[in-house]
Amino acid sequence: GKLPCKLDRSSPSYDILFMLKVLEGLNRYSFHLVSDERNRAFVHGSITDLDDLKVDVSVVPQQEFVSAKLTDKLEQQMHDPLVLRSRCLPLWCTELMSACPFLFSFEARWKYFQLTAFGSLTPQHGNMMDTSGSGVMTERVPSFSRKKFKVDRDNILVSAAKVMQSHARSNAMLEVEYEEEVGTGLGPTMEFYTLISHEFQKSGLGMWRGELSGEAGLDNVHGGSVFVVAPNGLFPKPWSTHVDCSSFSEVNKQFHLLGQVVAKAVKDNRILDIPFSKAFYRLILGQELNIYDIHSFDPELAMTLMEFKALAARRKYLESSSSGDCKSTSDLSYRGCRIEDLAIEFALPGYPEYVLSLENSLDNVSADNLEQYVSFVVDATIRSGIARQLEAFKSGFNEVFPLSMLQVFSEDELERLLCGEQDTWDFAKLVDHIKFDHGYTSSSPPVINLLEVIQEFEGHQRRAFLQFITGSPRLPPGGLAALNPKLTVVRKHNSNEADDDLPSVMTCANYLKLPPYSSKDKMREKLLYAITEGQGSFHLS
Amino acid sequence: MEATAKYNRGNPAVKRILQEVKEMQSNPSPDFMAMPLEEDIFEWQFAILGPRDSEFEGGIYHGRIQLPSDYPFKPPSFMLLTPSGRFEIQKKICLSISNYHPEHWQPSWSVRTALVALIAFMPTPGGGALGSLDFKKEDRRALAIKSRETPPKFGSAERQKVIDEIHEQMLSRAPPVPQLLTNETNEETNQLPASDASDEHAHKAVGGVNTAGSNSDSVNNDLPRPDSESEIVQHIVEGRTEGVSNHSRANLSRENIPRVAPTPQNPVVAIQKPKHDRLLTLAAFGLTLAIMALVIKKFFKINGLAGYIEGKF
Repeated sequence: GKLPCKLDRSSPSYDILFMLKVLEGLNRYSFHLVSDERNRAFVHGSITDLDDLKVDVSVVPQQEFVSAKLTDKLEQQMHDPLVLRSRCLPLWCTELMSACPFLFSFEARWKYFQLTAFGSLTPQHGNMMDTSGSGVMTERVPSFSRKKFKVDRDNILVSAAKVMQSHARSNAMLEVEYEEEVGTGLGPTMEFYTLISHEFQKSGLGMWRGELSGEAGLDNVHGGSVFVVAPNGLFPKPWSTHVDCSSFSEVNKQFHLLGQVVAKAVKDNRILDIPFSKAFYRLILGQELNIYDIHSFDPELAMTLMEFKALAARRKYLESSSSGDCKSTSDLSYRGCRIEDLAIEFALPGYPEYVLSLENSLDNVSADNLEQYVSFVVDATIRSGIARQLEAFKSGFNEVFPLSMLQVFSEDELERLLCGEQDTWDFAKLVDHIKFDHGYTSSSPPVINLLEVIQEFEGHQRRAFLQFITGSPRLPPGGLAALNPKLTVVRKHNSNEADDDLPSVMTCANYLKLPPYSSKDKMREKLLYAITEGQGSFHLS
Repeated sequence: MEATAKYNRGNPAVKRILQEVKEMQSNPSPDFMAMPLEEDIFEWQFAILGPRDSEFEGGIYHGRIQLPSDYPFKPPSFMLLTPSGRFEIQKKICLSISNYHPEHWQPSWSVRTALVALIAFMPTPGGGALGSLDFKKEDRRALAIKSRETPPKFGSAERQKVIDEIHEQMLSRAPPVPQLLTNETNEETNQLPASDASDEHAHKAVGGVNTAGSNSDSVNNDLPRPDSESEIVQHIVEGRTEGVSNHSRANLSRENIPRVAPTPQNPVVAIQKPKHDRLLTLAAFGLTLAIMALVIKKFFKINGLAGYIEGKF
């Protein structure tokens, strides 16, 4: 192939860029390549044990491909006042970014994305800008208008659909307040994105694949989970093209709304709390999936399908060679069993309503149709079974801004943008990134108690703490340091006993009012009570 | 078989489960019994006999199996209902054949192989695994005696009916709990061969579960006296005979399994070498990639960058 840009092919730079792109592609798709190589080895008989088909690769970190000099040069260009006003970058910037985005750092690409997609660098990302440049940028940043919407907390999806219907194409920033609550501003808006993220994960919507339990079991009534269980990340559930029913129409609407919400979250720099799978991020970025991508969201199914595929290919290879029929038959056994004895129906495993094939719908999988079976299951799982849902998602997304703008990022980076990142909370880091004021300093005993308590928090307690203070259970890209405004802890004054008070927050300012509790245990008790019982409404305090 | 018609044939897993039901009925095993509920073919009730020559011998242990909707691509989950001192009751147990470890499951396994493995796992140490216990031998033996008296109470009336039916049939087959005719010292010595034989059994039944293999090795290493060697050899032979005997009752699809038995050591040896080679290959691949990337990057910085930028300016 060639680089997808207008660069002169006779230039010496072209060959170097092409080589770098090939290397980067090899690195990114190393799992696919090694899996395919292992599959071929099995087909030719070099490998005879199906267990050897398993692959475990380690990839070179993405940062190794970054060119510091090119990144600096791009940053200079993006800070040029003329470029900012005219929104017209030099050709080398756009061409290199479209052909070899991996040459630039994630932060530079983020700024480039903001500039090309929205026309300016938003003030929320001040932390990512150079210190020297922030002074200049501040005076030039245009002020965004804000549009306020009132939503029903108990019917979040319906409210969100109405909001997006009238707001998706607007450039104004979305602000949310809840019915019968007086709180407004950043905190309620952050929580809106969190609530809708959780709502999308309910299994009743029929959107996602998940761990499936038996039919009509007692478990479903008592211990059944309301949410989809997908430990490897969410991926769309296959829906058959042969069946057009009202329930699928609802599913498509939800994917359309999901596209709008995701795009809006990226645009306004809000954090979503929804764990998409790597394969779904690849779909968002416009990449094609194959059988090896199934491994990222359903490793058991992927392993079995890969083994079946290897067996079918080997059978074909043996038939094309001069081997006899007896050898062919004896070689095609799956872990000591004939394929027929597995009693696998020619249907999509786990989804009985999906029509895999009209002709074979009553057959069992056998050595004769094994290859066809694998092909149909893969197609249903990652192509035709989810094509319409993906199309709905894309159309929703494109109403806010073009989805192709995201292609400068990798799937890991896209996940960071959407869902923030998990931060390690060690003592020195907490002291550096938290501001103490109005009666507290970094060495005050209550402050030290607080820092120790939140360090000892488990994962879900930490998430509850973050949601209590900021409205979102996750931190933005960059972690605690990127929180804007900075997390601030102040002394809460009261005429009564401090130990009877509860902490309170101003989520718009990430502002925690903390009474001076007498002991660490008392602080933990009151803090845990506040972050668990103090959710669910915004009122003035 | 009239009940078969009631099952929902829309789910692709049903055909496989029905085949297993049929096979279980046509080739019953003296060591266990299992059948699905009439109203839900994805939920089975089972009972296993405690393995011979162990503190569980004579015990009848009931349990429930929940098959997933995408069976046999995913493993079932298991829950014991009779107290045994080895597994907690009414709690899903963690084994390499259960849904706690879906990465170890293979579609060629079945409810039958899972129950054979479960029997073989009973004398092994729990090791703190989820749902596992490590009671004393005397307590386990007392629980084994108690397990025969009455089946456990669980769930709806239909479930209880199936449980009672299974218990009745198992009672008619099961030999009584053996009496303690020897003293403590002999009893303790006797445990080692039994444990080893059981591990061997598990190894063959499940096609080489790593847990059983490692347990077998550790037991061998602990042997203090050469005098016991002949006794152990006898038990190993006995175990193999027993294994072959059990498998001869299975249908044609199971006949392939005993082939693994004659050479239990070979798979371990064979596995080591390819793994080592693969690691070296992957390491070389990664290193080559990194070196090439770094070299090209340096070359690019020195020459390409200046030329390219200068041209554009």
